Amino acid sequence: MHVPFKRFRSRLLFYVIGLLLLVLAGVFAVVNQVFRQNTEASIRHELLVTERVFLRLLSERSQQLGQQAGVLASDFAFKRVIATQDPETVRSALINLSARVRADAAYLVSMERKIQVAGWDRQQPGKDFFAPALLEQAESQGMAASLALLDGKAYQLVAVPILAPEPIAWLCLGFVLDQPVLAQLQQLTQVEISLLGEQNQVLQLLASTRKDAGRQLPWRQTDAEGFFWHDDGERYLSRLLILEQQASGKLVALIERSWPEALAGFYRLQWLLLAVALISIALACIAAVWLASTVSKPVQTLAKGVEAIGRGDYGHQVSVTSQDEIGRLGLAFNAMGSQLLEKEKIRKLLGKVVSPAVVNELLSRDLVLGGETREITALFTDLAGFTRIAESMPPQPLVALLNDYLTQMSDAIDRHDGVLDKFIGDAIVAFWGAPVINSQHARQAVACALAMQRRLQAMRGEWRQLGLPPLCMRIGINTGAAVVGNIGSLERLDYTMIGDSVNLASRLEAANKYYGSEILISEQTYRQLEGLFACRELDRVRVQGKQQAVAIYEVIAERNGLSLEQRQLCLLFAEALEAFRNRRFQRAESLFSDLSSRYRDGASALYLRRLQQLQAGDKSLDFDGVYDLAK
Amino acid sequence: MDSKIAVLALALFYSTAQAATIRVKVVDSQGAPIARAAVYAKPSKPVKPAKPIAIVIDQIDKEFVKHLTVIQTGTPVSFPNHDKIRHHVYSFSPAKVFELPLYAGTPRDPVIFDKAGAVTLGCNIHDWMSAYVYVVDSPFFAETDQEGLAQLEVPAVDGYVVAAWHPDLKGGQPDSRHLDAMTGKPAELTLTLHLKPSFRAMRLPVGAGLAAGYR
Repeated sequence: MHVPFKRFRSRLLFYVIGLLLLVLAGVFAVVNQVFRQNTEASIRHELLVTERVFLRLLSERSQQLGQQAGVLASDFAFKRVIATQDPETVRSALINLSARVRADAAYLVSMERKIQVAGWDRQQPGKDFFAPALLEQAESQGMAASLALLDGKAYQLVAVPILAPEPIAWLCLGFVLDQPVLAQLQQLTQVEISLLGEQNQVLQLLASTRKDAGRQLPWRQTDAEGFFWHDDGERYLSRLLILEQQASGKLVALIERSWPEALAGFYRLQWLLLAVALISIALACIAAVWLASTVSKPVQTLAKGVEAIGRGDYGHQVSVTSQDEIGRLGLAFNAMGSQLLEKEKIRKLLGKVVSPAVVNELLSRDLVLGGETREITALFTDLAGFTRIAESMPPQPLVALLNDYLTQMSDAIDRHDGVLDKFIGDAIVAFWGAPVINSQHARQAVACALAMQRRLQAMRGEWRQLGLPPLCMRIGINTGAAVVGNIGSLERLDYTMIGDSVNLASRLEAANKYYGSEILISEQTYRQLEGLFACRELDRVRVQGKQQAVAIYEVIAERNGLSLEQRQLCLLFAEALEAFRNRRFQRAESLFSDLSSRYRDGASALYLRRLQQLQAGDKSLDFDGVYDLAK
Repeated sequence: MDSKIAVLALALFYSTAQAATIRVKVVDSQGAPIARAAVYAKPSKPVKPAKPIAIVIDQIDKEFVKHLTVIQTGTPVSFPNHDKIRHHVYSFSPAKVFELPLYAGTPRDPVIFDKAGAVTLGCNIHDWMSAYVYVVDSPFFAETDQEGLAQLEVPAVDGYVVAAWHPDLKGGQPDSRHLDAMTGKPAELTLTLHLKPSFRAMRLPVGAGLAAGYR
């Protein structure tokens, strides 16, 4: 079952109360079942006991009545009356005799079992006695008792012989079983008892301890275990007991107990259980809410903390109040926040000192000294003429100027994913291709150089307003293998680069002065530009310590940003250079002087100077068009 | 003893006539002999009745002595009380209803049993005391011995009705047999009585207490 909950408290409440309800329902069902079963069993047992008590009481009463009758039977005067053979006298004496024991019926029965005299009934003399079995029993036991149904009433009959000293007649007395007798029994057993007579298939109520007598009673087979039946909407558990079965009819006792009355105790228990259930549910609710708050409050606090961390508020700390798992989580969270804060501080600080890429590289792994050989593109810049204006400016504006310049330049390097190696006064050293491996390093460096020049162009306008002379920036770029890595001591180190290719970049920066250019790149860099930038070859130089001559190029602009004039310049210069290298010096001189005068091209001026030197000296013998790179 | 004396007396009385003997065996329905049953022979032709001899039925230690007494009609019977207490002898039997209300010693007048039949005697104040007087219309009667045998010495006249009776012969008629003219030879016959268990008050055993009641 999946129930969506927005709050932990709701979930806890749902499950705790659900579980509790299940348990309570189970307990209630079991108690209900057991109580009903027990009640039924105990009622059945009660009814059985009542039945036995009833039979026992009847038997004892029979004994008593029998003994009373026995005493009456030995009354000598009565024997003398019998000897008179005068029926009316005998009858009168019999009534007198039976009144002594408050009998309700009396018969004098001959030894031939014919009624001689009936106490209250003149019709019967001469008839066969109605209960011959009683006399048979009395004959063998000296006294006998039984139950009988006479004229719609239940009687207890006793028979004793009249001995003179031989039996001369039977004295038979009847005692009505009526409500007072049953009430006496009910006092002992707390069970309702009714006496029923069955005659001609009709069941008639003779006496009952129940007030609502005169009910319709169903006739059914006696059930030794008892049975349930409804009477006027009330349920009874009952037993039917056949007391006497005669040819004329049956005498039956109905022993019953009201089911709702018997369950009254259970209903009280039900209310008690309900109260207990409500109290326990309330307590469970309180406990669950409290428990939920002890869990969810710190969790909410932690969640807020995590959100704060997400926003970058690494200084956020949560209060830890418990020692449990949540408390440990809070402590861990705080420790994490502290570490993040520390790291962030370092990162920010490093970011100001070194390039973000280098910071990440340094933070990403253990700090070790050492390097590796990589192909990188190195970029060197220098602000021409800055030293001269520095000497004429007070320090504060100078530093402000320099800071402004360096800020702009380093921002340009950042935007082009370059790594700012260091500032040396107004000079800037940067590289691409490390520490993050990047195949675009040459193109990014050149694009950055153009962007730097554009930024400087913009800054020049501001500087002119401040009354400062226009400053030029020289940029040298070279691509090649260099060692990059953490170089220095463990206490103080730089992520920097070392190698010939780096030196060449620095030399190219300086060579700008010689060629009158702003951005110089080597042949190695040029090859990786794939024609994305408009460049012109300026010269072929011999680098110190290397046999191979290297072509050097001036970067004019992005390929698409080339103006018509610049394009013209490039084409003509290429033509002139070709003529120069093919020793067609007159042609070359004509073209260079044209370019020099039309475009004030520094490079062309340089070549005009070279032509003059060639013409002046013994020039043509060892000329190969390659010069030493100017220092 | 008394009956033997009576028989002896009768034998002497009839000694002049030719005598005959009737031997009777009385058995119950199972064929077992019945002791102390009354046996009597009644002549077909009435004989001149002998003058009955007075009989005594004693009461000693709250019991009648003897249990059964057979007498001829008209016999006077006296009931001497040998106990220190009084007795109240009575009979409500149709053959003789009488009462000797509480008396000590011997009543002045004997009771004359003038009607044939069984008379049950009792004592009003001692329920267990009982005795039987069997009154017959004949001077020839006897009681069976332990083997159920009784012998009657009678004059050889035309014929007799021989009958037997016992106190436990409840409500039944005595079994009787008709004998034709007697010869000199003894006549032998068997009479069967259907007895029922004795049913009356029993004397309490000594020390049983009042609660013991009847059986």
